[in-house]
Amino acid sequence: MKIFYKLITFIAGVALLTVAVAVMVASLWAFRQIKESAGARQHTYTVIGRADNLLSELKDAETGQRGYLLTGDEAFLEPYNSVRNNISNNLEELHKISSIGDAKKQLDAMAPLIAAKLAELARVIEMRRNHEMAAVLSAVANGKGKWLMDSIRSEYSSFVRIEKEALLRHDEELQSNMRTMFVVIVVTSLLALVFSILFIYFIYRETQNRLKSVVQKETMRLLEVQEATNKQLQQTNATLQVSEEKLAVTLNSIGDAVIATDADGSVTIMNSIAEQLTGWTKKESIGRPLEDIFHIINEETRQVVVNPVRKTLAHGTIQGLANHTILVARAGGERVIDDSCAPIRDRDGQVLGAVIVFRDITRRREIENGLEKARKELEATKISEDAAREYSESIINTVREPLISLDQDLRVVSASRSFYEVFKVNPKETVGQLIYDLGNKQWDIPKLRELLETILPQKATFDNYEVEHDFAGIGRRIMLLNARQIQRVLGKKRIILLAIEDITERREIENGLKIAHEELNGLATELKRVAQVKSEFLANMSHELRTPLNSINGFSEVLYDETFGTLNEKQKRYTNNILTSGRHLLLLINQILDMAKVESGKMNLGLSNLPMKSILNEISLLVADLVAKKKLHMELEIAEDLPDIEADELKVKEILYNLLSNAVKFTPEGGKIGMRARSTGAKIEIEVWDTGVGIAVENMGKIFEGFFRVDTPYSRVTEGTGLGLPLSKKYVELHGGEFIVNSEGLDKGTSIRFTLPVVSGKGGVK
Amino acid sequence: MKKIIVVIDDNRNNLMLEKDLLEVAGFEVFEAENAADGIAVAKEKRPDVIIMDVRLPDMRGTTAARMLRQDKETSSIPIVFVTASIAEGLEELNNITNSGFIGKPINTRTFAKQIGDYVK
Repeated sequence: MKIFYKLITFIAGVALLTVAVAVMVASLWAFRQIKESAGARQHTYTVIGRADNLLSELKDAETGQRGYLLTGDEAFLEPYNSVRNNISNNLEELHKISSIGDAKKQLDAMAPLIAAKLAELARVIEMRRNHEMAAVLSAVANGKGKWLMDSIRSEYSSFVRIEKEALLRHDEELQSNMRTMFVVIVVTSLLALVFSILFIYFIYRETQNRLKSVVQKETMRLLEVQEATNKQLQQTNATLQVSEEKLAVTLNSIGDAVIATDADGSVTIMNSIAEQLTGWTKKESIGRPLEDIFHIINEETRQVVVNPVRKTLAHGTIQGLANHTILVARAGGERVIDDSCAPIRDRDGQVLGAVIVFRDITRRREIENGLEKARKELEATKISEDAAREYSESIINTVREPLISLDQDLRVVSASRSFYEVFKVNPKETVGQLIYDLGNKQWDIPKLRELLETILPQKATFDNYEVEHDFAGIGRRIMLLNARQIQRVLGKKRIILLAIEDITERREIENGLKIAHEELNGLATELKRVAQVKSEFLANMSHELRTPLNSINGFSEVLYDETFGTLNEKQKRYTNNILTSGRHLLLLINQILDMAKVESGKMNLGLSNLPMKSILNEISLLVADLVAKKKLHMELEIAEDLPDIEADELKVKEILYNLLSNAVKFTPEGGKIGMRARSTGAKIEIEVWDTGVGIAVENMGKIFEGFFRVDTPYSRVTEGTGLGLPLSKKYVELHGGEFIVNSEGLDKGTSIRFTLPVVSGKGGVK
Repeated sequence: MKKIIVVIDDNRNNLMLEKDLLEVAGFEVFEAENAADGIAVAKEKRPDVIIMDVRLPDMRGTTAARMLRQDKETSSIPIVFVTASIAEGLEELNNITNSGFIGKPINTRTFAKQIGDYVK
């Protein structure tokens, strides 16, 4: 695109130049034409003038001749003589300057006439001179002179006409050329204008582009300059940071405390030693007056000492602290210090701040003070060293683990009491012996050699190194060895401490435990399997028992109902017996199954909200017939405020029915039974009681065992299953309630009390 | 026209009891002692109700029920399971459409009426 515009600009420029040159050339040509034309005109007028002169001279000559003829005075012949002498030259010259062929012909035609005229004039003059006056008059009168003159005039007129006509033609040609020229110039000027505009436009564009590029370049350059400046700035910052860090490191590595302040005495710099000594952190201190941090008093007078920094700032002098200065730290601790303070000046010597350097000489003071004391104490120490040895030996002897120490040649230095006891050896045959030789080389154990000779030289400490060895005296032992190699403070000797832990029994117990654990796992798996088998067995048993019962109960029922024909009384009674036994059997099966379910934890509760008052009444109505049959008296005491409870409806009803039917069953005719229900807050309590046979003390424990039935004169053996009571108890407990049986003894009646929670804790269980 | 019922049970006594009770109640009853026979009889007789034990010698009653459901000819016949296995596989039975459940031992006095409720 750019190249295209450049090309266009170039072409426009060239075209403009060409047009300009063309205009110039055309103008030059036109100018020359005009100039030429003017010259030609001038020339024509010169020629005509010359011709006029010629004619006029000729006339003068004729006039002069006449004068002579009349007077005879020779002076009149002057023009004639002049003409006669010059005429041929003049004529020739005229011929020469005339450029037109036709005009030249006229001149050629004129020349003999002029000659003839001159000859005529001469003849007449001659006659006069000879005074032949008559002949003169006749010659003049015959008009030959006049005719010649007229002829010359005629030729002359033709000559002038031809010259003028040529000039006219020339002028016309010039005018036509000028017109053409005008058109050419106008057209080329227009073209030049167009090309100029184009050229200017493209030059403008080009300039704009160039300007843009220049601006862009300049911007880039400025950006680079800026970047370079930034880098320089960063570098400067880095350098600054490095020098600050260096300063910080330097300050912190100085053993003395350093604090610097500004001209007002506020803290600006503080090193770590200063932090330690004053108890102030750098962060807290910066900007605070120095006196806050650097609190000093006189050691003896305990008066506050004027801070040296103030003096330095005021006078610009170096200050040393007076002796016996104490620095009171933030927490109140006191230290004897030694310090000096110097001003910080700028280049002009102006005080900008102060720096104070101080050190803790407390220890030095203490050392000075304590030297004597120490000397005294050394005496005491010597005495206590013996006590310490005794103390440590008693500790060692108290430890149950056998301990033995060896020197660097692995000879026994000492052994603890337990070592002698456990390994059944005495000190005499032990101390000073090589450890491997102990007890008849019983201790020459490869793993012990490895520990002492290979491991310990590389590692000063080694714990829980297990060694198993069969000792002659004490049998196979498993030991854990803990070894310590100790460099003695004095001399280069080392000793080895060896603690021996007998883990034989522990290992045996561990192994036993492991086996027991495995057995237990096996047992648990087996139990799980057995439980599974049991529950499958129960399901199968229930199915297998029910199938024949379906026939027994079904057919006896159909028979009893006499669907297919009547029975006699005995047959009917027998059929009824079969039916009753079948139903009893079915009840047994169901209860055994429920019992099994409860015991295996598979019995789930289907919870719902139970209107207890109406349920109690409902169940009491179920036994109303039996009650009436036995002429019993039933008492119901149901509290008005007995709440509804959350429980499994079928199971609650079963509990109540079991208990009430038991009460009916075990109470002689005319006796009393009853039911009480009340709320105890979070629970309800229901009691079913009777005045029946009661439970003998010795049977109290058996009633929940299952299939236990009290033989009474009032109930038939076949009536109960012996599972009702235990199942009821299980159901109550499943609900989170309590189930308590009370009887004061045989024939003293029975009371069964149980509770059920109002809101079940088995939320969500179905 | 008597309503037709097919009873499938491998226990002959139960079969007899159920048949007698249903016939007394006025149904026409056809028997089968295993699932395969039962399905064949059902396809042939197009009963109004099929009564079936859950534990059958050749397959489980539920399997047989699914086969009946897949067959166009028997797919819409109500099935009543009569089983001695209470609480066993009840969910299995719930998955079969248009079916019911009666536990063994049956109540001879209400059995025919219970079955009658399934007849359209």
